[in-house]
Order: sequence, then structure tokens, then C-alpha cells
Amino acid sequence: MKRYLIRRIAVMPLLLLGIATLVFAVSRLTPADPLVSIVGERNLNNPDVVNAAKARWGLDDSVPVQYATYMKNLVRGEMGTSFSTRKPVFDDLIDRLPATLELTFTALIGGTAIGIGLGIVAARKRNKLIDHVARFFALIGSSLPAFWSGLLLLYVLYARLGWLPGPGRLEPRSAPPGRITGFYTIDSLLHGNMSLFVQAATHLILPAAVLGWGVIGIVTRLVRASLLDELSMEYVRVGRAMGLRERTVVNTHALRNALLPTITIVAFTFAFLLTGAVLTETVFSWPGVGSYAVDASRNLDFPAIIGVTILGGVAFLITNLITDVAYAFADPRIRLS
Amino acid sequence: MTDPNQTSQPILSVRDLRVTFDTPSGDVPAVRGIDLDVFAGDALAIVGESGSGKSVTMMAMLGLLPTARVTGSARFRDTELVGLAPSKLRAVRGRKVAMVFQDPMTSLNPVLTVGRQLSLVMRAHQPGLSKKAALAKAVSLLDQVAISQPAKRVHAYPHELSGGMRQRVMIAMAISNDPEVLIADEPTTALDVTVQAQIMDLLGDLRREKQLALVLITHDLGVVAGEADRVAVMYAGRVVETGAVGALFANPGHPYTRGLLECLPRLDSRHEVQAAIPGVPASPQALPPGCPFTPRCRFAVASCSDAEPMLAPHGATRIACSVFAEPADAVTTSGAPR
Amino acid sequence: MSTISLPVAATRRRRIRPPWLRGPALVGVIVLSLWVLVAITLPLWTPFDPLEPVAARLQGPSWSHLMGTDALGRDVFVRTLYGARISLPVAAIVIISSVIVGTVVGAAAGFFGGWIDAVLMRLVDITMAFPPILLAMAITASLGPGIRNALIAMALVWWPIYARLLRAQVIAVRQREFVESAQAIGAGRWLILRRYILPMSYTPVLVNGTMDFGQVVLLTASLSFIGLGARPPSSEWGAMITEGATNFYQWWIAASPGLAILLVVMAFNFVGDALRDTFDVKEQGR
Repeated sequence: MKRYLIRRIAVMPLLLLGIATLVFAVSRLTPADPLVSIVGERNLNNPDVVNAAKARWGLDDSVPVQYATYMKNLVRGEMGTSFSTRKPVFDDLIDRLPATLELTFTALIGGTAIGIGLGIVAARKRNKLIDHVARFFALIGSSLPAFWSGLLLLYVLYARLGWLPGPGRLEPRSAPPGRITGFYTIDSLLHGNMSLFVQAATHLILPAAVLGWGVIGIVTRLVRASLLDELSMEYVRVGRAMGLRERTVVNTHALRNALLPTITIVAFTFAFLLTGAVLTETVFSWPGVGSYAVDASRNLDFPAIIGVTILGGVAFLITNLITDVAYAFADPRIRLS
Repeated sequence: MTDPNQTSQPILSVRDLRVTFDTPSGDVPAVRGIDLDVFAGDALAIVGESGSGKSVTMMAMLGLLPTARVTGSARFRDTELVGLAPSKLRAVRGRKVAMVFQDPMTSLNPVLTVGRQLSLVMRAHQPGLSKKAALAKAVSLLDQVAISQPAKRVHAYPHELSGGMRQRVMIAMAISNDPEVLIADEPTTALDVTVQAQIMDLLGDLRREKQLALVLITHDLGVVAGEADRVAVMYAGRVVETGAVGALFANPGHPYTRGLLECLPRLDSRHEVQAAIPGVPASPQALPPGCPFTPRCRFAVASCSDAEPMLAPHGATRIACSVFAEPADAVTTSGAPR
Repeated sequence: MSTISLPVAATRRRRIRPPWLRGPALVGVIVLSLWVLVAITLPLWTPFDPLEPVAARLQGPSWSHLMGTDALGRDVFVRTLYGARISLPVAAIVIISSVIVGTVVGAAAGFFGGWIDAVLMRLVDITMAFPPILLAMAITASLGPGIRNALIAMALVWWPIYARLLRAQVIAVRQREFVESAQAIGAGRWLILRRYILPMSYTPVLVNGTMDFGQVVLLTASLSFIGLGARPPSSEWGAMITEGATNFYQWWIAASPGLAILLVVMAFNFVGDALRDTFDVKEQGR
């Protein structure tokens, strides 16, 4: 396993380089003058801004030199300045990341837990009603555009029924807790502020549920399929022949094998969550990286768009690495090789 | 070796067992009425080609084929297994009647240690057993099946063991709850020849030590000759010949048995062409009328296709063949011991 | 002994319907056929013009306007139907081009191996290192917003999946014996690729392609939702949902296109599932 891990980690810098390069290539795809994409239309007539940008990004140099400058800046965390917020993109991203993480982690953990449970039930009661219901529920989760279901649920559960709070991480007039992790739920607990915690938690429910539904869609179908695969394996038949209870057969024997592919799917789910975050945060006025990306898209705020894309790519790569490592540890056939 | 004609009660007694599968293309009768008796300390070999129904018989009897229709009777001591409630069947499986399967590679769970799997089986049938005690017993079981360094091996994963060792683990699992009947389904087929001999020796030793009733399902006549006391030859879902192993080998009655024995390569003849039984095994989905062996039988006559023959005496064995059976009691009901 | 010919007992065969005509798959096929039919024939029988105001604004659903009217007085239901004329062809083009490009790249990588494989697969890895929407966003923003550029962006983002798929298939099939036999009788590499390897590889492409159709429709709508895909006054579903978000309390404006997306994507998922089950032995029969 060591060799596999070393190889896997060693390839990372190359991939990171590749990502950055691809994004650079994309940013230069623009038929317009790259200057526009760095300073924005409005500033074109401002000589100070233009000169500063040309200096920092080497815009008067040839493309390869521009690339080198770009990479140099990137390594320093320098991603340019957002048109809309006028702040460095890097700072903006750091600022807004915890909100997105809070949302996606909740959706990931909740969705995976429910998805696994549903998948098990569906596999054990194969072709019975509960199987079809669970699969249908999962299917809808995979077919719904997250931004639409968010709107719909907001309309029904907030505007019409008033059961759940509205958009935003907190009530409109509430102040956030002092920033330790940036997770409002955790921070309010750490500050001992229970009412704020409740606020943050209840505001989290709806957007996390919308995202989580998609996660359930992915996980349920995978767990069901993997479990059915395992249940047709020889060692399961042997277990039954030895008189093991069906519950033992499923939970101790089959499930452990079936959950291995589920680890791999976490990486894929993460991609889905990033996508969903982009769409859902807008609907729920959630001040995270996703809504930042959407605003940037609508305003054609190129530095911000580029910054978010790089962040997304890096995050995805890291998640893939973590899941590969986790899988290698979980499967004794790989762990001991 | 126990007297094959003993009149004490058989520990396992099968009468007119029929197993039918319901498939999209119709009913498939895998087992069409067989009778078997197994005695304590005795070794019965069930011989046949793939598709003859030999594995299906045992598995259906133990309730391991939920999609099959099983009729007839299979009594373990006084308990009727056919139609028994699943929870009660589960208590019999692995505890009184244990089964060892063919492929040790896939028969063990790859992500659990050997010791854990053994302990699971034991704790399923001995509720009071603690994890620690089960693990200790697992070590001793591994020792009984002649696995070296049992205390170390008990923490190994299946892929770290050789094929022979895995099969020994399977056997250990089977005997872990002191069963009275051990069914070995092709125990040596997936193994090297040298390892085969060791495994068969192990099974023989265990049988004698624990007075187990052994049922050997195999297509390997060498295994039969080495270990079995009595033999039942199956073809197309029925028993076509049964008797003591010596008598069967010396004087085979049924054409199928004759064919099988003729196919064994001999060391003492130099110019023989390797014999083979012509044709392919009868498919349960498309059985010929009358005796199913007729298309491949070189002794067949026209009347063979009229009706399926019942078991009748032939020398020291009983065969289901209208051509060779002794005419007098040709239509005895199958199974009733004389 | 002369051979005896015997009649073989006839077996009873129950007629099995192929999986794509059973249950959910049947529903999926019907739904999709209807959508395609509508998309093609709509201009011939549409009661209203999708781009012109036809009634009072922001009216709720009624018998004359099944899904009400939007902020400009246009009939929402008709606009939704027209949306299919955008989403379905766009998705088709994206998928087909992705399959073609992906097949070429993947087959080349799998078949020729060596440094070709290494280079091409690195390109695939890097492209797939991004969640599709982010990369599509960046490309579309760069090229300029609009449905045409969104299409190009999606095509650029989607092909690596098929490259990976094809490569895996080609590698698996290449090692099989009939390919060796073909080589032994002197068949050229191109012939082997075309006649032997590719036909055996299309199964996962078929399954994947069908499921991806729905995902691309979702992606198109998503891009339009954030302003990078179809722009007003286009009646693309994602753009309509954006309008619906602005008119939050007129729920029908967003509900209609959303339902359309849901129906189409679910239909593709049903059919894709059925296709996958057809090619997976374990699910057959029971």
C-alpha cells in the first residue's frame, strides 16, 4: 500500500499544475482583450488601475511570460481583485468558505447516513414496496435541479406554512457569533449562545435538506446495488449455510464489503455538492463560495470566476486523494499488499 | 469401517426429494425424486456430473434455495427439514448439519479475519460464548485442522492464506459447533492434487474421531474410492445406482456408472484410447422421455424410452436401469431397504 | 449400436418482455417520446406565441392558461413547452460530440498505450479535476454568455468521462483472445479497432449516455439560471426559473419549467436504469 500512496501523492503537484494551467488557458479563451477580464470594463479608462494590472500580470508581455507571472502570483495566493467587492479574490474566498463548508458537510453527513440506511432497507426488501419507494425517492433527488427544489421548498415550508425560517444563515437582524471556525452552529455553541445556535441550526435545515436529497439520490442507489452484489457472493451463501442469522449476514458480512465502493462515491458526491452549493446558495441567500460564484458569473467578474474555479478544482483533487487513501486503508486486501 | 448394511436408524434420511426451479423459461426439475440414507460414522459419496442435481439436493434440504420448490421428505434424526420454519432450519444448519463448500477463495469474506469469521459462526449457535472464548476456540479449531501457527493465523485475512489453508479454515468452521453430519460439496475440486490428498485425509480423520456422518459430493471417483463407504450415483436429478463402494467399483451395473469407471485413466495399460461417455449431460430443461441416459447409452433398447426405470437390485448394488436390473422385483418402490 | 434419435421434450417458454418495455422504463420512453414529439411539432399547433404577451400579467393557472402568465404576460405553459426545443437539442449535441471525441481519445489511449496514453489521460484527469459546472462557468464566462457558448463549454467539459470509459473498455477487450486471433491472421490495427473492439465497447457508452442526457439538461438549466446560458427572452427552463425566483410568490412561473426538467431527467434516468439492467446479468430474471 505504501507504494500506491506515495505514487498517488506524488502525482498531486502535477495535477495542481495542470489545473492552474487549464484555468489560465480558459481565461485566455476570451475573444476580448484580457485586460478587460482583469480590470473590468469600468476601469478601462483609469490609467492607474490599468498600469497596475499590466505590471502585476505582465499583460504587455508574451503569453508564455504571462503564464509564468500568473503561476508565480498564484503560488503566492494572489488571484487578482474582484470587480464587485474590490477586495482580493483570495480574501473573499477565505471569508466565504466556512459558510459553504458548513452547508456541504451537513448535507454530506446527513445525506450519506440516510442514504446508507435507505439503501440497506431497499436491498433487504428487494422488489417489495419499500424498495420501490426508497428508490423513487432517491431518483427524484437525482433528477431535481437543486435551485428549483430549494425555491419550491422555501415557498411551501416558509412562505406558505411558516414551519421553517427563511433565507440566510440567521434571522435578518441577528449578529453572527465571534468567528472561531466560521461555522455559525459550532461557534455559537462554543460561545455558549444557545438561542443563536438554534437560529443557525434551523436556518441550516432547509438548504442542507435540498442538497442532501441529491446526496441521498446517489448514495441510496449505490448502496443498494453494492449490497445486492455482495449478497449474491459465495461467502454470503456460506454464512447462511453455517446458520448465521440473516441480520448478521447482512450487517457483518455483506455490508462491510458493500460500503467500500461507498467510500469512493464520496468524492463524486463532493463534486455534486459543490455544484449544488453554487445553485442553492443563491436561492437561500447563503453567503458562501457558491453564491459568490453566481454573482461573479452574472457580473462577469473574471478574477472571481477564475478564483472560484481554481478553488473548486483544488478542493475536488484533495477530496479525491483523501477518499483514495481512505479506501486503501479500509480494504484489507489493499492495506496489506 | 462401519457395516454399510447396518439396520440402525440413519441419521439423515431423504425420501422422494424433488426440487424444482421456477424460471422465466418454465419449470426446471433439478432433482426428481431421490432417496438417500446417511448413517453416523459412515461416509456416503454422491457422484455425478455438473447439472446432475447433487449439490442442489443438499442445499435444498437445508433451506439454502429460497427460490426453489422443494417437496418430499428429508429427516435429520426425528426432525423433518422440508417445510421447516426458517428459524428452526437455521438452528440445524451449521450446528447439527454443517456444509463445506467448493471454492475456498470465494467462500470466505475478504474483509474479515479468519478468526472473526470462525467466531461469528460459533457465537451464532452458542449464545453464551464470549468473544474472547470464541477466539480461543477458533485457535484450537485451526490447530485441529492442522494449520500451523494457529495463534498467529487466527488474525490473518483470507487472502493471506493459501488455497489449502483456506479450505481447512472452512472445515474448521464447519466442525466448530460439533455437528453430527458434515456435507462436503466438491471439497477438493479447486485445489492442487497434493493438497487434495491432505484435505481428504483431514476429513477422514475428523470423521473417525468425531463419529461424523460424512456426505461427499464429488465428481472425482478417486475421492470416492479413497474415503467413501457407500456411493449414490446421480444422473439428471435421480439416483441411478447406489451401493457399497467396493461392490460398485467391482461390478458396476448402470451403464452410466460403467461409463464413468471406464473413463478413469489406467496406469496398467499402454495402448488404450482415453474413453469418454459420448454426448453431453442431459439438461434438466429438456429431458428425453423414459430413461434420461438413453441418448448416450450404448446398451439402450427401444423400451428404454418408454418409462423411467426405478431402482432395482443388481448384484450387491441397486440400479435404475431396465436393461440390467434383475427382472424379479424390477418395480420396487425406490428407497425401501430390503 | 446405431444411434437412436429421440424427440426432445418441448419446454414451455414464457414470453419475457425486454426490460426497456417494462414498468418505469416504459413510462420513461413514453414521456420522452412525447417531449420529442412536442418539441418538433410545437410551432404548428401552439395556441400562443412564447415571446409575445398574450394576456394580463402574473395571472395564476387557469383553463385558458394552464400554468398562468409571467411578468410580461406571456403564457407560461407554452413557454415551458418551447423550452424543450432548446434543452433537448442542446443536450443531444453535447452528448454526441462528447461521445465522439471521448471515443477517439479513449480508444487511442487504450489501444496505443505508451506515451499517447499517458498524455491523453493526464489531459482527461485535469479536465475531470473540476466539478463540471465550475469549469463550464469559467469557459462560458470567458467566451461570453449565451446558449451557444454554453453548449461549447459543456461539450468541452463532458468528453473526458467517455474517454475514460472507452479506454477501460478498449483495454479490457484488447486482451481477449479473439483479438489475438485477428492479429494472428494479419488483420490491420485499424480493422481490429473498428470491427472488433469498438462494437464490444458500446454498451457502457449507451447506458452512460442515456443517464448523462438528463444531467446535461440539468447543467444547461443551471448555467442559464446563473446567467451564463440562455438569456432572456429565451424560454429555456433555467432562465424561466430565474424569472420565477424574482417573482417568488407567483409560484407557477418557476414550478412549470422545474416540473418539465424533473419529468425529462427522471424519464432519462428510468430508461438509463433499464438499459443498465438489460446488460447486467444479476438483475435479470428476478
